[in-house]
Amino acid sequence: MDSLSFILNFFREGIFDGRKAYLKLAGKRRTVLVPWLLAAAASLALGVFLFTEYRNSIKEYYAYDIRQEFTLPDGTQAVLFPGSSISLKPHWNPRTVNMSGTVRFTVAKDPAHPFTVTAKNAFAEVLGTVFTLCDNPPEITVEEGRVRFAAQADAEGIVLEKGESAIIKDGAPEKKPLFVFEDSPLREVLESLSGHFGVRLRCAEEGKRLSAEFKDERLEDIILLVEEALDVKIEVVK
Amino acid sequence: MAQRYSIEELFTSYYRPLCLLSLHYTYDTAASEDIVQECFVAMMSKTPKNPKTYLYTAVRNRSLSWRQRNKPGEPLPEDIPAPEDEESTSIRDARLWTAIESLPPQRRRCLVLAKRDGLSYKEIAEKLGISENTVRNNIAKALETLRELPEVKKSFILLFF
Repeated sequence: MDSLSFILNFFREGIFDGRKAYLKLAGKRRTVLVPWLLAAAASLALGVFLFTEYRNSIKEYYAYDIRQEFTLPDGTQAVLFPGSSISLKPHWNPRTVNMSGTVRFTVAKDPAHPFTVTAKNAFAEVLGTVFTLCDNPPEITVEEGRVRFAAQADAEGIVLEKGESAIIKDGAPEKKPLFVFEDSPLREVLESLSGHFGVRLRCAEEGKRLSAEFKDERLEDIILLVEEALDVKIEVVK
Repeated sequence: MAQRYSIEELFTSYYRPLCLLSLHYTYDTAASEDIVQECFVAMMSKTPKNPKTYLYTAVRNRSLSWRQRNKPGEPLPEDIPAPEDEESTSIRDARLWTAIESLPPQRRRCLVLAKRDGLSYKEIAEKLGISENTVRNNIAKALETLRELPEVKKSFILLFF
């Protein structure tokens, strides 16, 4: 019998669970209790235990060799790249997940409950909607909406918007340069800046080429830097 | 190469694979789970130098004894892995089991009712209150997901379901 048939033949939910077995077998303690106290304690304990078991129940998602897409209990879509996993306690807090690897989240809208993702060296809190978080090395790319990104859950971090990316450097988040030009003609540079800042930029010497990176700078500063670097004059058209 | 595992890591990583290894001998899920639990308890009190090797050996031996006691005279199943293949086979089986467990509930139910219990699509449809077409789709999608696993692809097994 091939392995898939073998497994399917015997499959049942809720068995062969290592975590349950660990809790059952490795947490044993010997106590002596008076019989009536034992009975009362046992019923209370059973109730609390079942409730916490339910609340602490964990849901896990894995992607092995290929990309896998899942819908999480709160409606968020997660695309797991190969070698990634997600875990959460849906009955404890369906809007908090742990992950490892690289996952692209399309977060279901729920302004009352922020969605948070914790990875080994990165943390993201979503103020709504589509982003990709990779944990090794830690990097985030925001496609839509706004995301608060930090190295840990309790750090302030930075807020990123659509189109922005950031990495964790020396334990703190750092926005990746928004503009990267490699031997780009000035015309392209101006088009790119115009598009992002919503202004029209003009220059007589559009043929000159620029290699530069601009990280989160104001348009006026970028213009000055380009003018200096290429010895040109850039005009902002109203 | 010596690797130090915490007890919790041993449970998380090897409990399921060991249950499935035992299952190859016993063909009885309850018996296998008991056997593996006994082996873990024994391991925890004996604290062997190499817990993983100890566990695999113990599970193999106890499963074999169980079979000899409970199914005397029956020949051993053919797909019992050789000792050197036990770890890789059991981990592969565990991943398959986990993959089935991770299927969306209705797909998993349809798949299991069809392949494990031998119900017809009609019977499954009646039992779950869905259409036969939905049953067929669910099973097809479930098998598609499982077929994509490297565990299944690598063994070059084509499933004609």
